[in-house]
Amino acid sequence: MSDYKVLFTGSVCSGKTTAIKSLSDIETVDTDASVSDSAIRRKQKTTIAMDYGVLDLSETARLHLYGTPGQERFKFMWQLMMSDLVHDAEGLVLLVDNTRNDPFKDIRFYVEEFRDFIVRRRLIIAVTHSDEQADPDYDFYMNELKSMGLFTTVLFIDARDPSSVLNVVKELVGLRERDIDWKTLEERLAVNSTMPNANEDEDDDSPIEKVSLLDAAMNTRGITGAMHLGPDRKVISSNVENNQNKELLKSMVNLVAALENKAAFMGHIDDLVLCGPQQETLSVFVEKEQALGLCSDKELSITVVKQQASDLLQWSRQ
Amino acid sequence: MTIWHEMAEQRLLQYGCVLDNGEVKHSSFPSEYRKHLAVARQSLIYIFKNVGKHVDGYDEAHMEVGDTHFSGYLIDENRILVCLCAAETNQHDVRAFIESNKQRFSS
Repeated sequence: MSDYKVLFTGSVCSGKTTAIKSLSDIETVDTDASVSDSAIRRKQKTTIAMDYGVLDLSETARLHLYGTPGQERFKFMWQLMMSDLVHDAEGLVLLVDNTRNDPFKDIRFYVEEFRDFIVRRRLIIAVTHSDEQADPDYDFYMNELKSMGLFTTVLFIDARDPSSVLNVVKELVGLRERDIDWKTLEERLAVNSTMPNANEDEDDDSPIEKVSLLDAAMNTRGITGAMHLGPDRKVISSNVENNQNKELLKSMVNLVAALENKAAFMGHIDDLVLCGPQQETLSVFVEKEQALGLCSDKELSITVVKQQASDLLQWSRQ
Repeated sequence: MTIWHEMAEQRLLQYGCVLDNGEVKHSSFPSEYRKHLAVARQSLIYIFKNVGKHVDGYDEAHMEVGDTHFSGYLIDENRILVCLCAAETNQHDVRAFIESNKQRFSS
């Protein structure tokens, strides 16, 4: 029996758990817990340790499916998995949510985090949620990845559809396992589908209680205050109690607005962050339709604050 | 080897300069990046001046524009170190380098 392993990773809501459920012959092992941070605006449960499933490819080949937790705060698990459970994996499947503001930022982040792991393995970029957001398209991905120096396979998949996710498996082991009957496999996995109307008894689409952006921000690790601004850069809501911080956040947003034209040749101004050794970190994240100001613990790294803000704004638009 | 080469070699920045009372000094920014530097200079001077009006203790500012990342570090009340870095640069390492080389930026 040939045993293969594959590791699925990607941002929160990119479809890792769903993809593994679509492929697995066994009841998947998942470690879901109620969401308590910025992801609360998108879903109720999130993976906190790992997902695991198994797919029998043929009588002589088996694929073990592992999924990392998406949230950065569980990334100690990524290291643990890479150095132990999946150190002998065939490849890494990076699921990229096409509805993210900038999917390539996610790609850069995960490629950097998994750099040592993918040096010796196959990397497949599997783009999800393209039914909700068609752009960037395949050509755009290929060109952009080329300019990033990443020469890899890109597949557009629907994590809910087993036949679609199976294309990733074909790409990974298809050339080495020529005896696999893909048609039969596809038929066998059809029961795993969670496509709308595929299995009426599925209850995964239960409505999610609406949580305000400020509440979601306050549930996010290290965030102590938040200010939500509209397209006119006027404050929609705020729970920043410190008046100095409030004024500073507003003037930071105004500065970004004032610089936008001048800096346009470099691109859009995404964020401005202010730090001090004894001060809370203040940051503003600016989009066309809204802006978010955050006060956060000085110990929280800028990268983490940016990731959290990106999640909060992302799901606020929907 | 200049301090800029040293920092670039450690992947802490691409280009850097010191603003002394708003004037550009000791710059490694090439001429094709003068517009980038102009934006960084204007924004960092404004930020630290404006912040000083409200509260003391902020000595670091970061701005992300497209794929460009600017950082400004207040060396003393007159001097700002401007860094143009890659987005994935570890700012903690930059900060540590500046702390242990503060004297060199002031000279």
